Amino acid sequence: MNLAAFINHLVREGQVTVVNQLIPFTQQELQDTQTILADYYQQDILEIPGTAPDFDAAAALWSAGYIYRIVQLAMLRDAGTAQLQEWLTPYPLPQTAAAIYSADLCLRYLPDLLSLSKGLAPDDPLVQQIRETAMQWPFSSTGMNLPAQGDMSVIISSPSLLQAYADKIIATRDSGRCDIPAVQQIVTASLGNYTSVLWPDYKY
Amino acid sequence: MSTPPKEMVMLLPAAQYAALGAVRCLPGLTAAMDRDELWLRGIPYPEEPHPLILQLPALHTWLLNDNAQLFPMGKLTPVATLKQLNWISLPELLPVMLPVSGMPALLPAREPVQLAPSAEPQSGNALLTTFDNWYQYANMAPATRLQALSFATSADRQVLIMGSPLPPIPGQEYVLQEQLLLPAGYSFTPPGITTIVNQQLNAAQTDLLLFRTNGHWERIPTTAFVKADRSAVRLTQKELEHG
Repeated sequence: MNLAAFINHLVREGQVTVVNQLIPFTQQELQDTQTILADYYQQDILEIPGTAPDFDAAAALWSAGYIYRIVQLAMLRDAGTAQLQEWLTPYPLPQTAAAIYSADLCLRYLPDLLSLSKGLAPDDPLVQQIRETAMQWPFSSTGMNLPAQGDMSVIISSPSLLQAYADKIIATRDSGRCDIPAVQQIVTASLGNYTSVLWPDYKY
Repeated sequence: MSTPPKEMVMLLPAAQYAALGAVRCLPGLTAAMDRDELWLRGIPYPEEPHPLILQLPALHTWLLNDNAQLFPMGKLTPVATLKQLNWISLPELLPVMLPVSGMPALLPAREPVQLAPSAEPQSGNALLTTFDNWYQYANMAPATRLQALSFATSADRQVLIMGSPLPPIPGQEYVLQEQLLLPAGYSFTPPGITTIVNQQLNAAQTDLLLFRTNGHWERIPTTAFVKADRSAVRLTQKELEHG
């Protein structure tokens, strides 16, 4: 299954297969994948609060390739640190609101991928890599019990992303992400007078 | 030459036809209406007439022979000829009707069912508001507040939202009692009539009945409700805009 088919199955059915060879994506693959992701974006923005950030094709494509490589590397098992560095390259551009939201179209599966890697040792380089990426992309990693790292100002300054982030935190009961005042404030406001019903363990 | 009489004929006032009820079951009797007169024939002669026949309020009585000649009682000379009439049997002339049943007592006065302010506090289960209010809220509302709700929209941009907790937007709150949505702060009088109203108006139990404070009500199928996803609200907005 190439990258385009992988993404298509992932967003529609949640089930994927990958080829067992680490080879670069073709231009056609990337083009087809971008089309699928753009369609998925149009469907997904119906659920995002307020006005959704724009579609960032570069970020969406990077995240699609990234999780595809994670699945491949998790299957291969014998991949070393050198291979991880070669195939799991970090996002090279600034994390704008559009990039965060577009990358989330695929990075939202990071928690599932970490579960997929549970068979590996906790200090396995791939597991470490997934955890590191999750912390760098906090919008996509709620519920993983990992601290948010890096600059949160982009999420906080976007009303749409901030509310969606609060929704994710509440849905996954990730109270650790509420240590930032602006995030805590919107989570508290979202629960309103119904904290005891909607999140009984919320302590802020 | 006249033949001997074989039967007796009576003439009665038509207005007293009900008197024939007493002889309705006697065999062989037939009757005919002729304007304001009622003719009765088939009374056997020369046998003695049945006592009930003798009690009839007859104007005249004749004997009738085979040539349809009418003889006054005890006379040998006919005085008239019986007219050609439409003779029918007494059961046909006097059909039986069931008597009206007597009521054991006076019916109680009708008690009007109406909504009246209630002293009993109740939390709302539904909110009736405008779609614009709902859209504005749902557009940025926390997902956790939307998840517990469902909504139904009318063509005139009214929306009924159900669930708990209800959204903090302007509108009329309603309390769900069985399948009836009553305005918050109101209840039916007489008390305890809700079940009967529900059974009378909503026998199939497939709809919700929304009552206004003025007593008007409307039927809302439960199939009209959709889960309150943000996408559902936005797609409804598009649908309303484009008709």
